[in-house]
Amino acid sequence: MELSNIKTLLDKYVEAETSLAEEKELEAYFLSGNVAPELEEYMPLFNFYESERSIYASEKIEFKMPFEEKETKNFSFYKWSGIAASVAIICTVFWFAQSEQRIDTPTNSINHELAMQNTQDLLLMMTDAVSNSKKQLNYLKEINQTKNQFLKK
Amino acid sequence: MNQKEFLVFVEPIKDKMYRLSLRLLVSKEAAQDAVQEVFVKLWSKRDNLKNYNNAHAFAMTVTKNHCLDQLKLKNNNNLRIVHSNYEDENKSLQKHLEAKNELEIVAEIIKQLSEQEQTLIQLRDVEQLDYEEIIEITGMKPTAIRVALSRARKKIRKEILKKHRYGTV
Repeated sequence: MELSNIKTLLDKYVEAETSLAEEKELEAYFLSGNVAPELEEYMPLFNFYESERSIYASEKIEFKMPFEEKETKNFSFYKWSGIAASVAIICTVFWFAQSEQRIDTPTNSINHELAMQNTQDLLLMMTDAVSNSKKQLNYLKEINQTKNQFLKK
Repeated sequence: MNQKEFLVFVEPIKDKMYRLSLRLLVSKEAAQDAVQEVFVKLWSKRDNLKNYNNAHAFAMTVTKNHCLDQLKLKNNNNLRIVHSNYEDENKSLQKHLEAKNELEIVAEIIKQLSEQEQTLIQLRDVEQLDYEEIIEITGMKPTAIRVALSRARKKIRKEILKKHRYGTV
């Protein structure tokens, strides 16, 4: 392409009046390596654009795709397994607690009559003690009598 | 939209999204995170994507806005995004280094532009999108786009000529 042509294109380019096709033409000229010495300073610019265009994200970078469905599945899996584990722990604790009680209960049921007798004995002892102490309370009347004697005087 | 359709939808534009994020955020890690987060946003809106005339342009808009938000956040925290994209390339040829240097100068010049100008340069000169698509992505008016783009290109030209003269004299 003629030099004057390139120069006018360049002026149009700077005024942002070039079409895409014209800009590509311009770039092709500067990338061709056959550039007029007076326009050499523009070479790096178009080289730069060209090199920038060939940066690819996909070459070096793996993007994690934000798929919620997968994540929620995982999340719910962990959530439910957590709930299951806690339920299991609570159940085992209760089961052990109850099984200890169950070990106690059969011995009691075997000595049922003995227990009945023991409690009856205990209750009898209680009533004895209560009646005894009630008799002793009668002495309190003596205090009252003596007190009255003093007050009369 | 199911997973497969989403992957098909995202495949042709993910590089474009990444490049735009890289242009605005500079750091590769930040750009990668940005694209990742935009994917999440798009996925959450997957049922509405069909309603857009140009869903790909919409994806680019979301990317652009997300990056600008990130920049605002960083500015508010008084943090500058420090980029350290070290690359170990064993091409130690002098010529290659020089060429690379020149490209780095251009990159530096573009970095000095405003975010809007950078976005436009990225979309037009790097991605070579037509104006209609740029209008859809940026939401700007056609004349505003041309004025801003022209201003950006003039700034770049001025800086390049300055650097060039400095190099020769």
